[in-house]
Amino acid sequence: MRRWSMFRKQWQLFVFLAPGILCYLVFNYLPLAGIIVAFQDYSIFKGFLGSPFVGLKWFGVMLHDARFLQVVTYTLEMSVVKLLVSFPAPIVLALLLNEVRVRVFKRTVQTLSYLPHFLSWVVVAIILYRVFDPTDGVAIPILGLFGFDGTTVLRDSRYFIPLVAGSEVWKEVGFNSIFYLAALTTIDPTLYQVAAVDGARRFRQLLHITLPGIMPTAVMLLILSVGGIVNANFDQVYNLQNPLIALDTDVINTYIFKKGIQEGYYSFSTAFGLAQGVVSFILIYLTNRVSRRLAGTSIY
Amino acid sequence: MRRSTGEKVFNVVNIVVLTALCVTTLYPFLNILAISFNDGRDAMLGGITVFPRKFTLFNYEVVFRSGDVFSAFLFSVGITLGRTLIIVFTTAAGAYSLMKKDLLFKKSLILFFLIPMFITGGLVPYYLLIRTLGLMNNVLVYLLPITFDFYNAVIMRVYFQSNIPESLIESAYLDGADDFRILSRIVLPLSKPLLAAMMLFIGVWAWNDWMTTMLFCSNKPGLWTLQYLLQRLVMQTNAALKLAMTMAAKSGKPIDQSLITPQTITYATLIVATVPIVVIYPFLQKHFVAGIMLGSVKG
Repeated sequence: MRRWSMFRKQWQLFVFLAPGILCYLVFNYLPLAGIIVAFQDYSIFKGFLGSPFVGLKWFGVMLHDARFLQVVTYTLEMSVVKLLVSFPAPIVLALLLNEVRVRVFKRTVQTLSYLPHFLSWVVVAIILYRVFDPTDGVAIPILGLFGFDGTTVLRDSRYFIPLVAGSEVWKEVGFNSIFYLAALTTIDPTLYQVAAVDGARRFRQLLHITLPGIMPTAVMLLILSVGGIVNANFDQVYNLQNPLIALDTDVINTYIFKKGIQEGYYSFSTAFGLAQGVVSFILIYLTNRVSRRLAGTSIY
Repeated sequence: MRRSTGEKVFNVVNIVVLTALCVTTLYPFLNILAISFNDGRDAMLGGITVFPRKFTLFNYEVVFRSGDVFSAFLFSVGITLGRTLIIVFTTAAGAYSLMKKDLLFKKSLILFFLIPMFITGGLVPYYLLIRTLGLMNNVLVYLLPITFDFYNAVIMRVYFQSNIPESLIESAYLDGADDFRILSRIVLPLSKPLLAAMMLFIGVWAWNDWMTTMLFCSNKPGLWTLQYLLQRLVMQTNAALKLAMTMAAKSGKPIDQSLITPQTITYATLIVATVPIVVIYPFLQKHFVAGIMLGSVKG
């Protein structure tokens, strides 16, 4: 009874929440129910309710799929390389920016380096193909200086992971440095003065004051990226691929898309997606626990 | 302060590295911009840097007169505005409700919105759902699935709590105002800077969205966003030629097909798709540092 009177008082609050609740029910929770497709021989004509159940059949098919191992290892390889390159890059940039004493210069660098974050991968992919254009891409002569033939970069799948990691840095390094610049402003300036009095030079100050100061931010961002290690960025990979290398450079997400939506193997790719989701959930959970132990930082 | 040689060397190296970063960011844009204003056949010879060699407006003429790019542009503008307004206002209203301490089922509601951030059905069940609901090739597929953004709602809640004095809301209650009036007359007007920032961010996301089109509306050109059209231009080399043909058909002017190259047409389209972002970028920049700080407060 008390609840009812509370509800009558709060009905407007629930009107405000209604679109969100409805939207989540239909477009976030119904697809969760749609996971049953992974345990069915789903057919468009029989629908979710009429398709026969087949247990774990599709998970077995997945494990024996000719490309399963290749796609999974390639995804992990790509994620690890990407993490190794794109995790430290914004830290380095923030530290470099932090040492710049000329205001105008610092602002200009920031303004320019943040901009690519707001471009779509469609646009970034076109830019990248321009830069590595075999006839007159600007990267070709530069790579030539190091004795490297750049004309094959876009045609040879061996260079795809470096391309993905590099373009990730190009697009996001500036924007991600903001997190670290924000962390840097929270460091107490008197620490530096005291250190200077004690005779610590800039490098020692960096080691003992600045780095510990941005540590919590770094740990938090690392946790977020480790959770996504089985989840290569579909948007990025799909746009950077071209027909010459597409078969060798598929990651789990692009494979699921091609198999599931383009070729219509709905049950198979739902099972694959489910396995991927479970692994990524476990990873997020584990990294969060580890970080809680180590640094006292957790994101949730 | 005395500077050691080591520090001087570091400062020089630092400036060189950062300048190199700027050049790496800027040069490809200027290069593409130059080629988009260049004669197509001439551009194929290569060697254009940041200035066009044989200046022409022809590529842009094709892009605009063919109608396809222009209508995709208009559609993108409209759908971006629509999505942004819906998401920002629904999210703000939801955030206001979630801010209330005595909201019924508050804990369950927060859990309800939190769970999908970690567990999703995946691409295929989502795709099948959209199909089953009859939203394929339907403009509603842009508007319905994402109307509330829990992550941004959390940021807004923090902002409301720290920027709107509780006493103000209390006294409005005492004066007989209901939640609807408090939200529309007090909370939203006092949160204009945050709402503006969110509109810009969500606007950029909506403008750049090509995947919704590819997955659900690829069979209906009237529902193509500009980003999707651009992607098609890249994936299908003859798409640029088709643009020129439709332009010729529409203007009744015979067109020398040898003047059209996919490259220059694609680049002109890219510039048209990127200019709006560059134009609003200064406003974005003003807001996003503050926005990120706010986001990190919640963690």
